[in-house]
Amino acid sequence: MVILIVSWDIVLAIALYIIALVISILYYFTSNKKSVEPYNCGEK
Amino acid sequence: MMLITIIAIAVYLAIMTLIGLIAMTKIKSVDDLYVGGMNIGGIVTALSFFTTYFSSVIFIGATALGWKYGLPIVWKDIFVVLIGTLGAFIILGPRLMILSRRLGFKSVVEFIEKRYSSRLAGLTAATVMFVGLFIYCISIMVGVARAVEVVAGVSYTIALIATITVTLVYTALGGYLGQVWTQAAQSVLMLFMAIAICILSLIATNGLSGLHQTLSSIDPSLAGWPYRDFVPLFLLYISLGLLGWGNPALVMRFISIRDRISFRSATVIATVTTVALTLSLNLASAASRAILSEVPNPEYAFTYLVQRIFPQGFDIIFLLAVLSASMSTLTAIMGTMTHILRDVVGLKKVFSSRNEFLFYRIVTVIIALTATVMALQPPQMIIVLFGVTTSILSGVLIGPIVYGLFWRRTSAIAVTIAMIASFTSAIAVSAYGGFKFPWTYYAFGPTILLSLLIPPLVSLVTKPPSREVIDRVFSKC
Repeated sequence: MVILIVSWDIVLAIALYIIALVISILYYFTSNKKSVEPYNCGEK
Repeated sequence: MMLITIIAIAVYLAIMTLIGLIAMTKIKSVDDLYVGGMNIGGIVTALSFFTTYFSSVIFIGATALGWKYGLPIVWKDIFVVLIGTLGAFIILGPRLMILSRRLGFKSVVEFIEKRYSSRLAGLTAATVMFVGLFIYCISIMVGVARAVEVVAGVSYTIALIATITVTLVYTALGGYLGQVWTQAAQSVLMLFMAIAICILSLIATNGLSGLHQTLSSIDPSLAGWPYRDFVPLFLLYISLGLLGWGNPALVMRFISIRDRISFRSATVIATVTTVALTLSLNLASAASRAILSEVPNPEYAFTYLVQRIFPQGFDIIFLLAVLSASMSTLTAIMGTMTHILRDVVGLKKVFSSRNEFLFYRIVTVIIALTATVMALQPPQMIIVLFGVTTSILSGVLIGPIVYGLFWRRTSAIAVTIAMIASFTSAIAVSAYGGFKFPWTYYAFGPTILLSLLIPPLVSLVTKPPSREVIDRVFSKC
């Protein structure tokens, strides 16, 4: 499947789906793996 | 063929019931029953969120939009992916999860009540959400029964009763665990069908460029800008996107998740599955117009498409995917409605744990029976409200939830007024247009504006929340 003659707006829409995927993967690798905000003050 | 279809449906329903029964054996406490012990892992949370979001509409009703509007339909779920899923998991979810542990709430209604320290605000949220979810519940029942009737040739009444009975059994017996486990299993069928139908549709149209060319030759607006019905459709798309922030059945998934770290995997899985499902089905529904120039009823374009492009027998898998989509949403709605009633009644203060189990099951049965009776012959008043439920569920609660999480100054009276005003406007605008397109979609505009504007405006002129409430919610450790 090759995107050859597809109008710009459709390409833009599909690109936004792909951007969402990329952001979610970046979030996975950049969010904190260990430290968790304590739920209550005083809790460690 | 008919016999094979019925056997396939029976096996599928038996597996779902079995999962519900296994879940029942794992329930040890009231928290397990209502929120899975607040210990649901990231992957199951993501799959549960994903299947709750999409009912059979994604396979049936939404297809009509793709057949009618062509390729621009790919915009339909952009907001669902970016705001309703990705944004909800990154911004809304973690904050709500942390507050649920800090304030000790286990539902959206309880969140409103405890965050704003107001029983009135909690009751208002409960009423509005219950009405929205109840109508939504009936609309899904009608949708799935019609779909089974068309695809399997079973009578509407039998299709309705069989589907609801099984959903009810695993919801009532399996509780929250029964919900999320069956949803995880159902997500596989939904994804498989969506991806398969997309691939075969694009092969049939010689790829995306071939699809574009064919649609252009039918009508240029089917292939790109400018779009027909742009304003009402984009309002619909935005309202669909905000469901992830306002629909209590979805927001609940952020309360039941195990911990902050589980959001890492949940975010990726939820986004990937949502993109795979929505993009596949949107492309396939646009392709249905190129492949099927004439259809008796555009709502069932996928049914005709499956019969045209798939080998014989695949329509059974399609039917199971439709059932999965419907039942997964229904179970979450039934569970959430029961939870809302529990919050309203204030049951936990009155009954022992054993009575709470009984209450959960009896109330779930009553809700399901009432909705089923209405779905058998939907009253006209209910039918006209079907189109407004998205506006109510996505628009009304979003202001109170977002400001409650992120703005200290928000007052209880402000969010109470906002909920009443936005709910009323959703009904009023739709009623003004006779509860018909495009007014049911226009209704979302004022609903979301009132929900987002009233809380800050009224909060600035009313008494601020007490220091104690603010400290409990916003204190930094």
